Amino acid sequence: MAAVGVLIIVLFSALAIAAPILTSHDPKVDVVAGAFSPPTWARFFPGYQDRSENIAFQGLNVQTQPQSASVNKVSDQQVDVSLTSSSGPTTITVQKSLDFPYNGPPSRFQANLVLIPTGVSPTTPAFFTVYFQRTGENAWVLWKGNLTVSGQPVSPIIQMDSAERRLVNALNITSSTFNPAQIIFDRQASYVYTVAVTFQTSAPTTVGVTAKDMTAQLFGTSYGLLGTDDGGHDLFAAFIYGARVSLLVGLAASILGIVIGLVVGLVAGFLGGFVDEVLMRFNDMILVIPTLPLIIVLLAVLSPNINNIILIIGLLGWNGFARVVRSQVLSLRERPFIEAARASGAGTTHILTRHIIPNIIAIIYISLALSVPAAILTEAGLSFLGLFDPSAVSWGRTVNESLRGGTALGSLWWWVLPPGFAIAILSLSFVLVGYGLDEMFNPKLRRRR
Amino acid sequence: MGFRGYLLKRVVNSVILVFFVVTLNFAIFELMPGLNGALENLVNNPKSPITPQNQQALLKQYQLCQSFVNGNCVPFPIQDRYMAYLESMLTFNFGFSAKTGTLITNELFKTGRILNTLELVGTATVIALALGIFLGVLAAARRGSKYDGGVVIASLTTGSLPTFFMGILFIIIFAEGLKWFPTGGVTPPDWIRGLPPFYDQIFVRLQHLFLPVLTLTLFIYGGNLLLARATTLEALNDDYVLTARAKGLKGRTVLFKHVLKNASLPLITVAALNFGFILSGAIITETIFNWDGLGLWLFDAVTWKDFPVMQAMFFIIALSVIAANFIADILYGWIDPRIRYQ
Repeated sequence: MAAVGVLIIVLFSALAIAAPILTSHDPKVDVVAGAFSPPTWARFFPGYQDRSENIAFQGLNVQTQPQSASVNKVSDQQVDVSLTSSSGPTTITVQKSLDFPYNGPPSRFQANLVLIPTGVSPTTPAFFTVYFQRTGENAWVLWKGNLTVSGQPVSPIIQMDSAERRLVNALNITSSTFNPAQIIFDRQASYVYTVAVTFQTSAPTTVGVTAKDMTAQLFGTSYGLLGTDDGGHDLFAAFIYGARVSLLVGLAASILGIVIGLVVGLVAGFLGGFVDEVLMRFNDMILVIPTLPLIIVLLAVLSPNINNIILIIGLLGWNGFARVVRSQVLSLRERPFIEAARASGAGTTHILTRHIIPNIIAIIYISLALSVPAAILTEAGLSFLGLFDPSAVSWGRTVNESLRGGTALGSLWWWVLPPGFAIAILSLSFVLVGYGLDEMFNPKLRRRR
Repeated sequence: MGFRGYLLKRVVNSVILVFFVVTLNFAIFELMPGLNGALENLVNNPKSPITPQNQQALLKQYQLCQSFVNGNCVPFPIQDRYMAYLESMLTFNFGFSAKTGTLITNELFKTGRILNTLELVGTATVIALALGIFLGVLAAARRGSKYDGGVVIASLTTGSLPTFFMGILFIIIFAEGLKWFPTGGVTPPDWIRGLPPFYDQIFVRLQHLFLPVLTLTLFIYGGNLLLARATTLEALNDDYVLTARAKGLKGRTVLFKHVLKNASLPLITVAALNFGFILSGAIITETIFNWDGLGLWLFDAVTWKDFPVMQAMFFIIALSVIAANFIADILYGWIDPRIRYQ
């Protein structure tokens, strides 16, 4: 059983350490998909089958009228087109396409484009439109205008983003509660994202346009391994980075507590007398004070950053261990080998480090393993109550933020449950390791083989 | 020395602890830069509705500044502040809440908060104690069996689970999913308009009480169980057990009539020591289930940075733990004949 515990701890540690490799998203900042998106694997379950995933328009297709033109396709997002204009209207059409495969609409679209014309002037401008179009139906115009200055890049003033309110007006969508992405991409169909430039020249000249940064992307309503939160941030990234915080705080705080407890227990047990009395009275006084309210109050007064949290949890967690060490030291003190060491002139430090500590090393390991869960749970509880380091993402914080909106917890299961499970499993693993160590070191507990 | 001497010692101990807690509280809030947070919104705030002269009068009234030099506060020396603080804490004069502006002592006693927390914590403690002792003693009696192993593993598991997670899980499964219980609150929201007759109230109140008590009990019973098991195991090895068995007494009689009495002594002390632990669990439980008690009040105070309420809550919670310890010590002194007849 202890082996299972060790395995799980190693797994989480690997996750935590490898976090930057496993995900490139910053869990607090990067928007990766629509808000409140369940994980992509949820699409197999009833109720989630109309969810869409992130998808982008592909390819780059150029058509011109007249047809002979020099087309230089630099990449999937940039193309230079130039041709000799005819007496009639000269058009250049650049197109990206998408077969939208999902049953349900996306949550948002984002399209980019920069146009650099050649062969235009204020007297002979070119006219352009940028639009989405479902095959055989009307186009949804996202951006249109005139190109008047050759060589000058032109970008849209109103972002071609379905979250942009001014775009909604431009698309003539009457109700402001409608999401353009849901209206345009409401079914499985073939779509194109097109920019059409029309030149009117009196005499044949060289005209052309460079379409740059031409991308169009749809944010789905499901994402990744763990979905997204209310801002569209990647919850898997939050999960991995949360592992870091929980492990770090758990280990650091419990090590701090163990070290302090060790020192206090050794000193009290070995020196005895007045020092012992004072230290144990102090120990008992701190034992009586309820720790969580005290930590809450302390963190509310000082600012809750990681260092403070580790310090405070550690400084309040040494009591039990100090008592255990003290009783062990008391019993060891009277043993003959200590007396012999003293008789041969060993000093206090020597006796403590060379004789006493090696004999209590088992308890140190076991107590360390068993105090980590308490530290992890305390940190999780504090983060859950809102006392978290604003610059760090921790599991407790994730759960706290999932309760922010007040929506039914069951409907956000991918947000609420994974961190809680992770905390439980991680603390259980440490408990298993601790009891495994206990069995290992304490021959009385070993089962007879 | 006898019981009276023991009692005296415990009283002195408790008094020292109370002073320690008050000093701690004072020290924490002295750590804050600037003036006591409650008034910081009123003074040094350009948008404050109170005129500067009135601000100064207020500061003098709260005994934070003894005088003003060039409009800056000259604080009282720290001994005076401490004595004033001590006096106000011991007379339960906690000042005004920074969020609602009402007198904290009023809000403490007029609303049902203390009762709500008592309802939750009391029920959970009693059930967890009964459950823990019963199962633990049984586990010790059947040491090494599958029952023993299973029960121990169950205690360890539930003790490692984060409380808030268990609460949320219960809400999702039982309250939202199966709809057996409400998702939170002490009473249904429409009871503000008027309480139904007493007997009708009982069932609904129990419905609201069930999930929070379940969550809190799960949090506590593991420790009780393991301790009961350990002390019973030790007690079972004593000679009198052998004698009782030799007399022909049934296993159950031996267990519950003789062993339990001896094994329960350490349990009382530990149950009292655990009271602080239980209150910590109560804070989280109250937050999840929106249970209007002292824990939720503390949580709200933290969210709103309402420092006077935070101080008051911490003091009250610490005071209850000290009181619980004191009561446990008295009980222990009464039950343990070795102390009474010393």
